[in-house]
Amino acid sequence: MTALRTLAGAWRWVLALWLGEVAIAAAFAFALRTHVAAALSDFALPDDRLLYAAAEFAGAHPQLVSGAIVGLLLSGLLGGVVWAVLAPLVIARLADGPQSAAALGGRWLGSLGGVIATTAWHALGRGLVLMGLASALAGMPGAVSAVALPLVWGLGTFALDLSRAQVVLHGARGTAPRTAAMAWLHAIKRPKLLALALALQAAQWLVLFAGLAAVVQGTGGAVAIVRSGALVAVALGSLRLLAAISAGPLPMAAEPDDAA
Amino acid sequence: MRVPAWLLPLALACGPRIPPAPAPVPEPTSPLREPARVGPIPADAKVQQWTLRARLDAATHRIEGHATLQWRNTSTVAVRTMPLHLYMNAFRAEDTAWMAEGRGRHRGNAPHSAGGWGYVDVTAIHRVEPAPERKAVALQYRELPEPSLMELDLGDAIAPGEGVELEIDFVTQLPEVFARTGYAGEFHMVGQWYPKPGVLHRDGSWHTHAFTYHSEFYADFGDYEVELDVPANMVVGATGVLHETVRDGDRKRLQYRAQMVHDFAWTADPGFLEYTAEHEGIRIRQLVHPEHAFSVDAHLQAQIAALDSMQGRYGSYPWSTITIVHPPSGAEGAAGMEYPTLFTTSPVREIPGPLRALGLRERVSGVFTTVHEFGHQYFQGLLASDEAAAPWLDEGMNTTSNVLVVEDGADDDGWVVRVGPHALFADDFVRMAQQGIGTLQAIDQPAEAFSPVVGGYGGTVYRRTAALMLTLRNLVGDAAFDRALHEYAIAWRFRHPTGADLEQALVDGIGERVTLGAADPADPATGTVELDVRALLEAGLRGTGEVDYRVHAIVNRSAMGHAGWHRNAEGVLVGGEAPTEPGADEAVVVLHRAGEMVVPVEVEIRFADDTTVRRIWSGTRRTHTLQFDKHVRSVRLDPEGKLLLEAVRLDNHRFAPGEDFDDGLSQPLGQAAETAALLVLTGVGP
Repeated sequence: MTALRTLAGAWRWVLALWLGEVAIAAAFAFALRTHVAAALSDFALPDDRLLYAAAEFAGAHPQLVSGAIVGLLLSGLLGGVVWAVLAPLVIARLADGPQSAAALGGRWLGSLGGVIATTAWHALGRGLVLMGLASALAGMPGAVSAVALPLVWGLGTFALDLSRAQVVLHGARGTAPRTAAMAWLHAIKRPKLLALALALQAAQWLVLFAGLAAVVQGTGGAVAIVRSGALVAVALGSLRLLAAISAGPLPMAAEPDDAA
Repeated sequence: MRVPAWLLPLALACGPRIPPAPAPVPEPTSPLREPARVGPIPADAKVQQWTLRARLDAATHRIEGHATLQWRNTSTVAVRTMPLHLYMNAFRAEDTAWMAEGRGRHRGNAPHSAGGWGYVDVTAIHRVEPAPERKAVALQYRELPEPSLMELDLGDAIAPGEGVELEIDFVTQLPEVFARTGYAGEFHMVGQWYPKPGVLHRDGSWHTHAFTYHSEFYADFGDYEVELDVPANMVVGATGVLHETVRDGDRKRLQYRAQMVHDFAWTADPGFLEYTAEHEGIRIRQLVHPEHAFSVDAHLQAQIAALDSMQGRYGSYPWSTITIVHPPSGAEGAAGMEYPTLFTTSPVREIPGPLRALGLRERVSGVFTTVHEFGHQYFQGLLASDEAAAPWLDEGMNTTSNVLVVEDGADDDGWVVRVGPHALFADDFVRMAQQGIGTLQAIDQPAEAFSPVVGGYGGTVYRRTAALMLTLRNLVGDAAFDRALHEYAIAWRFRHPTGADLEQALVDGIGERVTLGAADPADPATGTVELDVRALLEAGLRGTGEVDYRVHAIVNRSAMGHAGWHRNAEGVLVGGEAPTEPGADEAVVVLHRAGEMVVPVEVEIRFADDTTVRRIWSGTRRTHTLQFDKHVRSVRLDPEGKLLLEAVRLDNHRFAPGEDFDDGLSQPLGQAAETAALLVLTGVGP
């Protein structure tokens, strides 16, 4: 309940994060929609066979397909960078409540480098762990991978939350790879918090999956459902971050960045 | 592979689902169904009588074989030599015709080890004198430079109507399977494993074909008595019916009998589970490893749907058995091949749970292979056209029928892939394949004319043929086309029809010319548009033109009046009124035949008042102009999608400039893009 109260107190922040996400996604969608409409010119689908038309369109305009893929990746990259940059502010606000802009700005500047560095270490570490796991699971039934890989992804996400919280709130040294590595260990050593984080992530994916289902099924107002789902997902993600903050200071065995 | 201990529970939970086997259906006693189902067998159809003995060494994947062939000269000339196919020699070395073309790969499969060569080595051939002497005379024979062919000197000439009895000893080394036949571990798929004579046509010409990459097979009908000597633990499936099993220590001898077939294939594997079912007196037997057993019911339903559809369209299936072989993992190269009364299928792909929850369904993997391979039982097994000389007669007509099987068997709208409310249909796959292959090469060519380097064999022979036939069906009507194809299938059972036979049957059944309708139903003066069936078949089978129509322009403008100077009856200029004020609308629609192939096409014109009219354009000229006395909102070519030969459809439905319309694609793609982006952003964000 405390976490929910904290979250409610920071609703403007949640809203701002959500709007940022929706803006990035909507810009990407707008660009694609405009390109497709321009490519079709005065023409429309000859019948209701949307999948055939999409396949024919993709075959006729491969550059738009690759452009869409690049656009999607860039959206993700942009979102990742924006979130890494904003994370110190969000963590400080969620952990310590309303603060003056100067105080927040100071904490942001003080921990931004560490947060970006630990994010990069996590990206590297998570990539290696997932690749190793995927190769270990090769040849096993696909269902095993379908369970194991998301679990490890979720673990990595919570470990990243822990690292960032330790850097912002407790001065852990983000540039040290050990900070990232220890976060994985701490995540595993706190099964209750980990389970909560995994459940919150699962809930995040579930609401977005429901939105995707609405789009696929052609439900009326599908875009509104997807956007609403994204808002819920941001709120759930903030709760997950609060779970990481609640872990308190952890022995990361690395000096603070400013002592380096 | 060893599963980590901590993953064992998960692995076990995700292990194969093995459905219980129903009560076994007993083996039929006769390889043929009752005579009424078999239908009349032409007197000269049965040319061969085989007695085969094969002993499989499962460790070396080697077969010691002995064949007795009684062959009859049904031609009008005496023959002194007999060509033999040694198909297995295609896999003997890198420089065989097959391997040189295929580069040691087939459908993405390649052998894994260096020792995986396959060959057939004929060690002796004797001609047995007629009774009472029964003396065996050794004959001379030699492999040709292309080792998939051999020439046999018969000694004395065989006169028309006479026969000869040959004793053939041979050793067949199975290749590591990557192209239809061979072994993988303990799995053995034994196809094209014994020397097979060419086909002697009535004019005395032998029809033999070097085994090339795309080439399949052509052989005479005959009866078979076959003894398979295999390790006792092997589960065996074969062409025909099993009528006796004799155990002998750690081995067993199985006696098979097949009638009126042109090949004998078999499979052996100790890991097979066996599922049998019966449909209309036909025993359907599936041989499957546990990993694929979950899908046996899906394959059975597909098999029954194919049987029902094809029996209804082409007459009764004449044999009493169908054996469906599921090659195990590692033997994917054996999948998707037909032999008389036996075929190999491919696995059903399980759709991951999340995708299922999204509404993704498919009837392509596995079950479509079963529909396709069973379809060969008619076009390859029963009609038995020369697949090497005219592969479209089998693969193309079979693909045509596969689409119809899907339509016939569907209790819904006949989709094969579904994503939520959106679907791809079997004819979409046929249409889709036309993109890019239309001008590459013509359909009606021998298999060897299609080079794997050029590509497009499947798109041309399988799917362009189907697109042509289904376009014809859509234009002339289901009833006329189906009746013509039915009459063809009934008339040519056991008779090896050629392409000319099929074309003539279609023309006879449908008519030389079919009236499609008035060019303009409201104006009889515009005449009628006819389809020239023979011309369509000629262009479709032997041409490389594409069907592509396009709405070139829609021009809405003010009608011109009669203001100005005109001469009256006396030749005097009169009038001189001011130009007419813009008022009444008129519209001009310009259609363009962008492709080289001419097919009549329907046009639907929608006006601003939301009324529609239809016209038919013969397509003979490059452009066609239509005029209307009111504002046209949109024009749609081929509104019912009858022309499956036309792959490019996104220029078929045009709106007039300035019209506000939903193109139908940009909005859903935009929604999908935004959703995908939000999923990615959630993955990287809070």
